[in-house]
Amino acid sequence: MSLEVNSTEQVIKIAAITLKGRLDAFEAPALRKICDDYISNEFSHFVFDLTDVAMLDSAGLAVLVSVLKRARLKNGDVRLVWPREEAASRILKLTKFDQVFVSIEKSEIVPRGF
Amino acid sequence: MFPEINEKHRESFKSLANGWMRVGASCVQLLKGGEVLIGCPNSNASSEPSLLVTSLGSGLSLQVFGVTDIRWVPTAESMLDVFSNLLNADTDLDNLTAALVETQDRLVALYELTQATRRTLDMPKLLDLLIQQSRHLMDVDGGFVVLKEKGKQTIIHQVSENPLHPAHAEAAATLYLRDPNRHIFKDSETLPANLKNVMMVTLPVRDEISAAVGLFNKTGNFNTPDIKLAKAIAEHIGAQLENALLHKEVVERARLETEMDIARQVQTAILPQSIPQIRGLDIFATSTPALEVGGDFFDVIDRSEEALVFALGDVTGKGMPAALLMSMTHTIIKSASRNMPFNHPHQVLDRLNHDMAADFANVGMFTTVMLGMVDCADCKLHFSNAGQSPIYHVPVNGEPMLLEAQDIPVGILDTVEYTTQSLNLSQGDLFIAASDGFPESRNPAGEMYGYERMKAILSTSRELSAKQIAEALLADVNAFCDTHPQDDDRTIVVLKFEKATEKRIMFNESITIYANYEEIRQPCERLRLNLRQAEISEEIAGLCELSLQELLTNLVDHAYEGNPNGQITVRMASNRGQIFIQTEDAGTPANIKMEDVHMPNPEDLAEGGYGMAIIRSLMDDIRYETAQGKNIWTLVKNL
Repeated sequence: MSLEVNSTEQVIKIAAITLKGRLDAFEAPALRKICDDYISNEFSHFVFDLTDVAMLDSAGLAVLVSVLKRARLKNGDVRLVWPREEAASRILKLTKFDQVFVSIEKSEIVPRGF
Repeated sequence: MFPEINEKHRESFKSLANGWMRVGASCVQLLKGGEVLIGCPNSNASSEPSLLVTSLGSGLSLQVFGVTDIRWVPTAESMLDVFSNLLNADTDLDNLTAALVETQDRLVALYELTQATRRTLDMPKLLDLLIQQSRHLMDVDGGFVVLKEKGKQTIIHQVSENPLHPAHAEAAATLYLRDPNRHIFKDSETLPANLKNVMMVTLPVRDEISAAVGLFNKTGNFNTPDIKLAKAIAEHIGAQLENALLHKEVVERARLETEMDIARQVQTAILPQSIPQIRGLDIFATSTPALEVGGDFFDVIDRSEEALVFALGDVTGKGMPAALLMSMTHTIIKSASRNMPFNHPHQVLDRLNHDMAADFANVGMFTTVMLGMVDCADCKLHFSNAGQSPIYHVPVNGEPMLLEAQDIPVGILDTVEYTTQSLNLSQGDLFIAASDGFPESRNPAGEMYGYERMKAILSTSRELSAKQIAEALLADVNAFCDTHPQDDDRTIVVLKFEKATEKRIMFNESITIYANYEEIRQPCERLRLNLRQAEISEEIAGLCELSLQELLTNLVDHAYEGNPNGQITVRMASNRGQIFIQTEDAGTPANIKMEDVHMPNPEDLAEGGYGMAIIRSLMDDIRYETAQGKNIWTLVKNL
């Protein structure tokens, strides 16, 4: 056999998280806990599906930013499926995080997300 | 009184005696009262018969021994005359010299006094000079001045090593003033034991002041020249005192005028230059200050296109203190009225009283205030009245009604719970708030303008515009007062309710919650619902909700730092023009300046610091204040 095969296995762990309802200061700690668990389990890529998030405030945003920061340290990233509601997307525009988070279509989530 | 017999007299006598010797006399003597004044020769041993002549006028006698012939009597009489004239002339000369010296002394002293008093306008110094010069000139123990003015405390000024008891000085002055023709009082009569003698003269200052100078315990006794001298000094000092008083009055008047000027400037500066107009209301306000500025003020603050707040008040007192308190009062009313939840004017008065009660109490003053909010969308007038009068409501189909103040003025008690009253307004209704300068205006006969005349004018002028009604009232008061000057400021606010604006769904709601992330959702959702019902766009509703959510999260995190017992009251209100969101918490006061709040750079991936920046970018007005231990945030969104 003359074929030389050198293979490296690279496992990219992607967490796709779908959120519904109000992502505010009250819900943020629960989401943070979930994300912390993923990060401890070597997840470096995150997709947050915000399609059905009715309202997003700065506490919710802070969780997303925190996840992005830690994902980048592991050469990962965070992508967002844009919320349908203005009440949720408003803050992303106001804070200009719409230019930091890469947005994807819902259909792109898995497996073509990355 | 004869002068001392001197050598010159002896020489003269000797040459005259020699003449007698030549006609056979053995000895010649000049006697007074049996005593030998001069003898020639000095001693006389002779017992020869003698000739004796006596001058009744001077009491002098001439005795010539060894001459008895009666024909010599006229010669002896001539000699006695010549000699007594000589002695008399010498006495006169001595007296004149002494008087001349004394007069010279007194003139010099008076001159010095004049020079000294010219340099001072200071009352105590003048009185000191007066007494000291008198002491110096008249050799007395001490002196005092008593100044009595009706309605004022009697002033007693003394200069003495052993000063009198003030009661004694006053008693002496009273005794004298009762009969100013009597100047000298001697021991025993009515004087206390330590007073040997007293001389009193009037100190002429001015009619309304009775003043007297007393000098006491002169060595020897006071005499008529002393009275004259004391009067001269007193007259001079009196004129100078008059100058000093005038000077003091001029200075005082200048100070008052400056004060009044400043007060007038303050008052003019705080009165609004233009009156905001809103739909559905005809409003006019004006203030005519009196010459001596009173403490009237008014203000009109628009809250939306259909609502405004108006205030009219009167700070007691005049001049600088009134002006300062008025400007503070005005500032608080202005800011509290802006942040006032809709339809709660009493909250402005609560706040004003809380902030200012101590200041007013310190100067013994207070202020009356009428604070009203008219809402044309709601056809309502809400008002709170702290002692302001007169206030009239003139219903379109009724007689003017005087509305009594329901609460006490601001600044009297530390804690007052002010109340809000509400009136339903119909088209054509009038509401008039005025200062007491109107009913209390007087005519030359001293009669007051009164409430009835005011009521009558309001009744007859009701069809006119707000401005014309105010002018009609001012003209009527002026005509009534005629030549009598205006004693007090006249300030008036006239509101004429024209018509209800298009009715719309309004809300005005208040919710109190515990400070935690779960409960803050309630007011946020409530706000959203209210805005939706008020048919306000989803976009505006969403950004108001987000702002409130951010504000409340901030309060939970920073004001209460997670303390679960903290409470937050959220008020929300809306009218056609604006949305008001107000929170009140009792947590740690915020230490934040909105103008320093900026959105973090997203590339920095900061995990906080967005909340206030978001509010700042969404709201039209953000205000923060602390009052009565509460932190109050007010967010305003213009529609």
